[in-house]
Amino acid sequence: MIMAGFEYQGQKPFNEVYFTGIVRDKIGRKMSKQLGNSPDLLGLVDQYGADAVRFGILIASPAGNDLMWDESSNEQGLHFNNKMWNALKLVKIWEGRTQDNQSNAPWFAVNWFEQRLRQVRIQLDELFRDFRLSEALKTLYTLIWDDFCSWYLEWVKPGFEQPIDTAVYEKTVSFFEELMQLLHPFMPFITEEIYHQLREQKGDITVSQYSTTETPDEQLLQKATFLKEVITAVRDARTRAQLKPKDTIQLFIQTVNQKMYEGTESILSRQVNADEFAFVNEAKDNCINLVVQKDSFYLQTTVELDTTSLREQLEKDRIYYIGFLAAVEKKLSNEKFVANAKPEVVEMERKKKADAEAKLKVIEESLAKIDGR
Amino acid sequence: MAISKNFEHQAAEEKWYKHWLQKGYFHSTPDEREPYTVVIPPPNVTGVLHMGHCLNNTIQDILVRRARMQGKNACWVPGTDHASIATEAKVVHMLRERGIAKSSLSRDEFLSYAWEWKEKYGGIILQQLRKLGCSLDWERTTFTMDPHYYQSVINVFIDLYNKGFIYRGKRMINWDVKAQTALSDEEVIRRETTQSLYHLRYNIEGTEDYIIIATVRPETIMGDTAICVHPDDERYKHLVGKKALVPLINRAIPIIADEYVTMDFGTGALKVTPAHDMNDNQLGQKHNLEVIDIFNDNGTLNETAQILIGEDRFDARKKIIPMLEEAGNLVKTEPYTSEVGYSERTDAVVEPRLSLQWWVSMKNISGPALQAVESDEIKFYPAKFKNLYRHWMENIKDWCISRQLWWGHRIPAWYDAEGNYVVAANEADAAKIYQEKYGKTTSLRQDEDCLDTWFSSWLWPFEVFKGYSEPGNADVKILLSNKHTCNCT
Repeated sequence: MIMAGFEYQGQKPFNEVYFTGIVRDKIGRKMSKQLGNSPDLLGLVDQYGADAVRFGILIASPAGNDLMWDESSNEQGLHFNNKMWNALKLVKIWEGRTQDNQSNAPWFAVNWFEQRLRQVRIQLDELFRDFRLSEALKTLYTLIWDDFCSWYLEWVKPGFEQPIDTAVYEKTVSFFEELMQLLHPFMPFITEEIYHQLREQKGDITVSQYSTTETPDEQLLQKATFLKEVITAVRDARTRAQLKPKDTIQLFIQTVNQKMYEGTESILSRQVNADEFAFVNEAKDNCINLVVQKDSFYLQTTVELDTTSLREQLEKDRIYYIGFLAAVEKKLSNEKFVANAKPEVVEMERKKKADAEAKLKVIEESLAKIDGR
Repeated sequence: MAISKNFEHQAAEEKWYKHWLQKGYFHSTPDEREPYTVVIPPPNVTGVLHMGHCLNNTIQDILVRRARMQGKNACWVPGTDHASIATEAKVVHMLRERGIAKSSLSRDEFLSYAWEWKEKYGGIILQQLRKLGCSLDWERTTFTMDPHYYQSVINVFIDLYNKGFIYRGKRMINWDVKAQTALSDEEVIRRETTQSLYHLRYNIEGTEDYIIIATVRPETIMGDTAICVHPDDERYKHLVGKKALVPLINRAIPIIADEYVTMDFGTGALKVTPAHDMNDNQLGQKHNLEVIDIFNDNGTLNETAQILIGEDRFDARKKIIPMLEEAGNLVKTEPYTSEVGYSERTDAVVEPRLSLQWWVSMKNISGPALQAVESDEIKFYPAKFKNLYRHWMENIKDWCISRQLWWGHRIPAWYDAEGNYVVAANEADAAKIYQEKYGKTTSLRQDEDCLDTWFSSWLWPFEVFKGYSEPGNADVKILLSNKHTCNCT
């Protein structure tokens, strides 16, 4: 084709050539009619739907490399369909429960998701430029499954039979629409369907136009990442202390950077079921302790604490951080490393050392508290 | 509106695809927007969707849909190629079921059955692509035997012939004895196959001496025209220049020396059969050896073989072994595994043979195509495929473009009774050119063969926009503005 292009049009017939990999079965054999290991594709489309089949073949297909295909990747596509469909049903339940100007509306969640969408748009542009479509799909999958369904919808979800702020609801619907728009090239049918289910539309998603990309607010993104980390850590601590979901806690935070919590207090409190939230300047007694980055958290609860298991966990952590600290210190005392490594690498090691020291300090304080010293 | 419990994919797929088509979203005509065109790598008209198609068409659809949503004028052109050999096989099969032999039909009769098959069963794959959701511009559906396309292929042949890039010549080709047509190297599948290696004794003419050769093809000894040894091989130095006698038929052939021979393979002595082996053929050319073709088109032995005439090549192999044994020429037999070429289409063992075919001299046209990729004017994703491409293009051999088939673009060469020929688009032109060239008039008949399918599909990226048949049309102007054209392979 290239030869004929030059011979008969006097120039190249195309600019870019994309090579797909070879489709192989799960034990690595090339799919072929002779081996009989090539599935009946139309049967799969009937069974799983075109979207799930498209998802299944692409998710397993890094650009230009061979892909190992087996039917379970269609299942994954089907689960993804269900996840999105359930999110749609949840949002539709809220539709009839909107009220204007709700105080305490979770605006942080809305602001964060706006930035997160900007971030992903930029990532997608880069991935598409290099034809890394499988990675682009994975990026969208994570964005929808984790960030939208698992975090965002939880953060904006109104309490049981409570109303949702009208503006937050509107924003949620437009985020959902944007997500469907970004995913549309990969999974055209379900995205068009959800787009029309969400609200009355003037046009169809397949010809809707992407908005231009804007630079995301990195600070806000960091704040949200930190918030997710804190929520996860506090939930883990709750589980370890065998608190039931309905058991409330009082959450006290010792930090030098209260700004990191501005706007996120109510989301954090709700996500960890805290009925009180306050900053403190020193360690609190009779609490579950934990550390996220450089901040200390004290969880007070009326439920009697099992100090033995708490102690065990803290001891484990202590031993881990002592070992970790020793390894970092050994590295930093190696003159060759300090002299030859890139300054930022050395700086990273120094930061690791400082963080580990801070953690150890908190762990030791907590142990002392439990022991009543 | 109540929402269903689960996403009901079948209903959604039917509803939305129909809706998108009704709205004409996938149809594209050039306008002020930036163009983004993708031409589908044409699947065989006989094709049905498999996982490979699913992957590459999903990828194309993603790129096209995204471009469309980015405000580009996205155009994705569907179509199929006529798949000469595959379709002809399907038609022959259809006819057999109706109790009709291809040999009982005229070319025109056969072709009308072929078109009937194509209309009825061809292009199923295009329907299947709809099911996958592909946003193709169906109004632009192209077939490599559409009238404008057919004519373009013929004109390109004539043009390349007039430039001296196409010639007719007798060269070694891959012969499919079942389909009875030439095959390109790409249509030959090489597979490890276990056969027997026979050690055969050839007596030296006029002496008591002998030489032993090893071969997997004892049935071709009647086509031998030399025995070759390595010039440094002490075992055989005294025999070079003497003559050996082909067993059973006692024809004398020279013993020659060439560094091509590997001393430690087999006995270090090689039988040379220039008509039936690619390497032997080259050796034969170098040493000016006679070429004796002992096979008919269908793989049976012809009269030149002198013995086992009419036997199929594999039956002949079985039958010649006891004959050799009885004559005292079989020394030993051992199992031997090597790569054997099979026809991609019929699975018949491919027979290398000399054949009069049409060829494209590739070195004349491959230069710019290699250069464009080397310089990244055409970019490959992933870039590692540049190496493979360079290897292909630097080692490119002349392309055998004629096929002994009817379904396809019929070679526009016209012959007189003596075999003189002219190349022309139609009979009237041919008569005119013939008269100019030979100074007489005579009745001419057109070449019976048609062209390799790739001789048409290589025009695909621009002829789907009629870039060759209607140069400078609005579509192709956009294409050639080259802002963003993309092709998936």
